[in-house]
Amino acid sequence: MNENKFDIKKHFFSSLFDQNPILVQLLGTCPTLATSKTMIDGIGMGLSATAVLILSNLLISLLRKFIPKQVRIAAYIVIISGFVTAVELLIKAYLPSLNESLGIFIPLIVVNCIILARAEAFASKNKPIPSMIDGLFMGIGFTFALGLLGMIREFLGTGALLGKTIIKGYPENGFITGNAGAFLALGCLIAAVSFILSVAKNKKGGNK
Amino acid sequence: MSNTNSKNTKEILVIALKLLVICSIVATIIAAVNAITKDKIKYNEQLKTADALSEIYSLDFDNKSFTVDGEEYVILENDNKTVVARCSLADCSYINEDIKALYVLKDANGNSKGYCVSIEPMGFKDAIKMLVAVNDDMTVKSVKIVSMSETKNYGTRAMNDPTPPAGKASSTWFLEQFEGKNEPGIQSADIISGATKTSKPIINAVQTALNQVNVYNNTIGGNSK
Repeated sequence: MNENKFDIKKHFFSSLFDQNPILVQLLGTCPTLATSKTMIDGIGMGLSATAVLILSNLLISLLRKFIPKQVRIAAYIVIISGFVTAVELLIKAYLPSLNESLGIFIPLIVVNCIILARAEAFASKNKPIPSMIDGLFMGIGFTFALGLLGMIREFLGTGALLGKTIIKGYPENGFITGNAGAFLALGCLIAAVSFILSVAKNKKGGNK
Repeated sequence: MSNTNSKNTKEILVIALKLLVICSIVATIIAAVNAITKDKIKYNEQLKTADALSEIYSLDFDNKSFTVDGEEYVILENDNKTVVARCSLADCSYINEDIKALYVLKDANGNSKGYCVSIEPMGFKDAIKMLVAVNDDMTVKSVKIVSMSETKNYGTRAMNDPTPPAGKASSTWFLEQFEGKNEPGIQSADIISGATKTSKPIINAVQTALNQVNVYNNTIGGNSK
């Protein structure tokens, strides 16, 4: 019966903010650090993972009564890697430049813990439509965080946004676009978001 | 005992069969997507090589078609840019693993137009995808980097050096220095200061490309014709 009480609006905001897969649940940190060098890379990665999330959630939900409990993780991985391969082929065919910039990180969506986590925590227990919506919202949350981090790093690193120069003559900063800068930028972003969330929570609590 | 055993066996069989069904579903999906995208992916890869090839060679071709190792290719106009379409790997044994392809270029009349070697030496971070065009007289026609993921402002100066060293006028001086050179000339090529680990593989790759064309000439192709 719980399946019918799926609150779309609440689910949307929670996946974007207080249950954000990257900023709060700290899932999928590896691709986050690697593909947030520029905003467009981050969004590209986020959308690719979203497509896989929606499709794998749908299929896992459809097969949720069929998949034997003992081998469910193996079944999830097969399904997820199947869709990753499909998305990879589609990107190679229709978005070759995105394929160039994301490279190995597209096949690595297979081991993105957000997707496995949603399969285990949601899709395996819920009906197909809510599972797809869950995949979409989690994907939006992932894309949002990746795009935000990519925006910050691209701007601080090169003075540009989406490849367009904003500040002319900005000295390029290899540190922030490098690996160490990725950790620091993500850390600061997580700190900022959890601060905002706790302030918002306190206000809500005070009103009650 | 035997009853529980057969029950276990049956359970395991059911699980295995169910996994098989799941794998079949996924395999069908991949097969369908592959069938749709296969040609487009191949075309994209060819176009990329062709694009780089045409930058080196298109100016040399008066006709709109030429042959590479017996196969005919056409030059297309695409977005006001000339690209060579339908390029495929030539059939020839390569002297090392870095070499991905050797193109023997002929114009529509069968006259030799030199060679082009696709070579991917390991750079500082990752493989550097390069094309080395070689003239009939075994001098380097030009060297082009198709893609690289070297450190920005260090290794990338091989393609575009914002601060060329004294005596070098152009930002593409590093690749241009190979033009017209033969073997001894390549060995004495200048290195980008601060990016030795990018420069050296590129210089060696140009050398390897020349060696490859030499091997081709001495075996299959030959200047005997």
